[in-house]
Amino acid sequence: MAPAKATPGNCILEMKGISKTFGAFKALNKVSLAVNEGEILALLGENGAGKSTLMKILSGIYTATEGSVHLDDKACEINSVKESQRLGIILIHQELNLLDNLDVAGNIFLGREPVKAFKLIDLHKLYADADELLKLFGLTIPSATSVSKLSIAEQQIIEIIKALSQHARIIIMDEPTSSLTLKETDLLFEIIRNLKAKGISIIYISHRLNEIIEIADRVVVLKDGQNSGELQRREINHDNLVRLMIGRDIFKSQVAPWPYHPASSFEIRDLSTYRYTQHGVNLRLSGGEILGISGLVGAGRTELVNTIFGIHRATGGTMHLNGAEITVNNPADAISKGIFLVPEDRRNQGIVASMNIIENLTLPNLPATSAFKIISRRKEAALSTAKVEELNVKAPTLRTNLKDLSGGNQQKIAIGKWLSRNPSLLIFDEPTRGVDIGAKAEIYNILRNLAKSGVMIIVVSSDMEEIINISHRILVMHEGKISGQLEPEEFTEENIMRYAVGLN
Amino acid sequence: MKKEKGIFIIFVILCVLVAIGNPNFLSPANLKNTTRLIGIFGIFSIGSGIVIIARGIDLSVGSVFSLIGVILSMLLVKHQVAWPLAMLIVLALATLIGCFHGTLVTKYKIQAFIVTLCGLLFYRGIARFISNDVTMGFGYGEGFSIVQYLATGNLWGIPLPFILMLIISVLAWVFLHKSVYGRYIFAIGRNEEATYFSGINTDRMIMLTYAICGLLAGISGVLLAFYTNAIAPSSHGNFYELYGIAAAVLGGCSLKGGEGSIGGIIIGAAMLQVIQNLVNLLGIPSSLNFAVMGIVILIGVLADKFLVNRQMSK
Amino acid sequence: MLMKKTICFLLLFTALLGPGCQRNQKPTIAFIAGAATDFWTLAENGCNQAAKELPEYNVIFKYTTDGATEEQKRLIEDLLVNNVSGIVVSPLDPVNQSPLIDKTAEQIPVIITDSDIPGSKRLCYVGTSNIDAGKSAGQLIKEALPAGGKVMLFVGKSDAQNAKERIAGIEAALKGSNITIAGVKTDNIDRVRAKANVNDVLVSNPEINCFVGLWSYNGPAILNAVRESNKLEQVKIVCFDEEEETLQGVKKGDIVGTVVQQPYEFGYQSIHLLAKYISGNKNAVPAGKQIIIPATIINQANVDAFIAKMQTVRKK
Repeated sequence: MAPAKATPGNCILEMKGISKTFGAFKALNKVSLAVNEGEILALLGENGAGKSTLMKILSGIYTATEGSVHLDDKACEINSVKESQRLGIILIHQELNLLDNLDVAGNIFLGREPVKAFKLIDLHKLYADADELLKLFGLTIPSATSVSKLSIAEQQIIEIIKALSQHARIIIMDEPTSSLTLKETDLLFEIIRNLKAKGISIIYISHRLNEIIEIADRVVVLKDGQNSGELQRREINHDNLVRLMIGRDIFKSQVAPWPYHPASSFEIRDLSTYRYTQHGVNLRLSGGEILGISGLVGAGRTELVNTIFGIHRATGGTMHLNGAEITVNNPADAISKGIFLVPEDRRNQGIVASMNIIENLTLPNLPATSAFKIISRRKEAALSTAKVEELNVKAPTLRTNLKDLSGGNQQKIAIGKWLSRNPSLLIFDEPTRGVDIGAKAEIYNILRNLAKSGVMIIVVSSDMEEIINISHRILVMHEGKISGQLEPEEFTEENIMRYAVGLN
Repeated sequence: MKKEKGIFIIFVILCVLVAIGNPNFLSPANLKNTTRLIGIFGIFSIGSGIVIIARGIDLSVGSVFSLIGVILSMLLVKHQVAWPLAMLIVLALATLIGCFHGTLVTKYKIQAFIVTLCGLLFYRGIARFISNDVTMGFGYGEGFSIVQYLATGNLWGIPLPFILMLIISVLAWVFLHKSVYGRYIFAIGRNEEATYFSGINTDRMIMLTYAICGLLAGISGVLLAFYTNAIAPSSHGNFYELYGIAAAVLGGCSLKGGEGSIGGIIIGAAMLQVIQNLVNLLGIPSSLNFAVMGIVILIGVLADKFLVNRQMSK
Repeated sequence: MLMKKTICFLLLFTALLGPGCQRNQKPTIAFIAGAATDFWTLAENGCNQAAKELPEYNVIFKYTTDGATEEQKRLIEDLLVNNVSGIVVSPLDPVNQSPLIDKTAEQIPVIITDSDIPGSKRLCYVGTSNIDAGKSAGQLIKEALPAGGKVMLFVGKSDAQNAKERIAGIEAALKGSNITIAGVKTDNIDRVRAKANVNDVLVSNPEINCFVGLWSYNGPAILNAVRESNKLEQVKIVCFDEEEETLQGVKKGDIVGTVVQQPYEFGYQSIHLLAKYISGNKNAVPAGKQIIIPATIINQANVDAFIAKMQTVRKK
């Protein structure tokens, strides 16, 4: 039933009194953390709480300003990633770091390829070893498969295999499930439990409380760069977690009433996309409605919303806004009709990470902040200040580059750039991926307020808790088709799952 | 602004050193000669820089110089076309060449390096073919001495190409650093996909950068043609695209796109001319010309990096 | 009439197909020139004239585009593959290219033009003595600077054989006079640099009172730079070769004089010589294995006649 009570092994890693300052900013203040052998330790905290900084220190990317790290009761200096890997500490980044031009085996043994004479790669041994490892994890793909052909979940597993093949003792996983489906998450958990059985320790970072409740042996919570508390296995529950994290109760899990604005409507008829040219999709929503679209990764949800926004041309079908047919050939067309998209891939599509807040917020709004094509610094700053306040973006200045902001704040900017344009239809593709729980709640509030004001909203999400929480109606997609529609009284994870896998 | 400061300091140091080595560096005659060349090279360097900021590259500039030089000479000398019309024709041609590159890059998704490398070979070949590989001259400029004066003349003692460059760089500065288009170009250089997702017609903007590059290459090409007063189709402007690219890089443009400024590009272009000037003034053998240039560019980029890094860690 | 038409057609045909397609049995003679400059265009005209007079031969004219010896090697190899009967070469690097010339000469007759390779197995040399041409330029310099002075030389590449020989000739002529050579400035065959070099020397070495352009385009480059600096009065200019602007400068008196070779004759005479040799007349080659086409001095006195002559040659 419940995971076996972890036999708390010996303490293998201890971080004592770690502090880290960036300029005048104190990211970590005397944080302590201990990891036992064969333990699944969840590290929890809002974005900006210092989790990533702490883990970057542990994996040698940053050096601590103060404090010490002890491995097996011996103080050790971790000054480089190489050093930490030698000690058996492996960090699996949230953004996967596989090279998609190499095959699976090449990725697993990158930099440690078995060699024959004259530094020639021993291909036979390379593939044999890799196949062995894959089998261990129940993957049936051959190790000569190109990584670009794998699903995100499979790639995640490859990363874990890579870590294990480096004789990892402690594996740090940063938001490993953010792009996984439920089934894939289960597979990952099974693997994590296997690792635990082998005596390998896992530091698990996630915002998904359900996952933590399911898998963690112990939870360490950080808040504002300090230890804010610790929960043992038996104390881990939803309320305790939230209380330690933010000190207030935020989840009011109920469907907000649908503020119906019948004046506006959006409809697509038999719209087909380049990926599923055979299947036309029909959907309709009215002003004030939040329509959730759920489904497994690859069901064609992103292709559908990208087509509505004009990123790809529809291969068939029509779109109608407020009863009139519209043609959308590119994003500019969609934007001119008041249809906006907050895309799934935030870093590549949603924001320009190396530009600052002002530049990002005004990118689609420059005609409004310029006269005779010359940008007005004053209008730009005014517009940005207003949006930053409205969305409660936390940033040092308006000229901070987006890459220096947390995921939640980046997402707020990606949303905010559309809000001064009087949207009629706003599409959110995975609105809270990689966003911490506090910012998540704020983003839900923004969505609800927009709906209240009469905007139509489509939310695509793989996070069932989220889609159940936010939607007025849920459509489920399976292999390019709408496989089911759920009304609020039918909102359960089981119902969604049933349609998502194509059962009726 | 930070990046410009670094390169500007190096530029000033270089000038001071040369002036100490040979006081003639600051003589009016030398200043005139050098600023004239800075003007001619600066104008097309701005174009190269804008393309680089949008994450492109233009390798065809040198060959375009040869082609429009040959055509200009044919129009003015052989066919006796009125000079305003001749100018219009060659500038339009240069802009069209830029648009052609832009089309291939945006519509057919061919890498800019390949497109303009083919251009480099193609325009040179065409120039040599239509001229029968014969050097095309302007002689003493009967009938079009006004345009000849643009390249060789002075206004208030300042060489006209330099004045022209100043005017163009002010316009380019407004375009790149103050206007909506400039913002789009920087955004494209940093993340073309996100820019497209923001509803901007990225293809049109990229096209625009190549068109500007073409036009500015056309203007420089005309000045260059009258500066030498004769165009040897096979060697005229050989490798000059590299001067443009080097000036942009010295001035803080990153070949990865999204970085750079007009001020930096101008200083970079000026630096390259001063380097060649110093080779002669300080009595360094001409054969070391390129070696000195290579070393100074490297030192410039390194020092720039060092200065910027130090400022950031403060 | 019909015959003439047929010949014209055949000529056109071969010109279009080039050496790659040898369907007819006419022997082919190739002329490999240096970089595409006016100088070699005149040689091409000479070749064309010879070709007209020798309808039983194909004559091909090739430029060496980048001024690189590899390119000449490739050109020669390609021609050999296409069964060329004889070639005329202007070697870019006579000292180091002599093995290539020797190897080629084992298969077909080779004539060297412009810069001789005395020890090689070449059939003959047709061209000017660049040392003599340099001496003629030295003569002009001495006439221009009766009170003595300093000279600066300008050239594309100072390691090219003809540049070395011209410099040697000038040095020989100036020996014992009160004129010294201050230095040599190179520009890598870049006209902009050529002109900028002159400007820089005007500033850095104001004491120099005579500028000498060793390669054809150096003349106009010097003339333009000096004129724009308003220093035509102080600085004497001596050039080589016959670019249009150079001749105009001589005519106006801005240039003291220019030493011209006769590239037209290079082309014309070498093609004729090869044709005779291939047809079996081995005695056509002179005993000294050299046909020297004299360089001449063009100054204000004879420039008009020369320009007139050039126009007739160019038209051909």
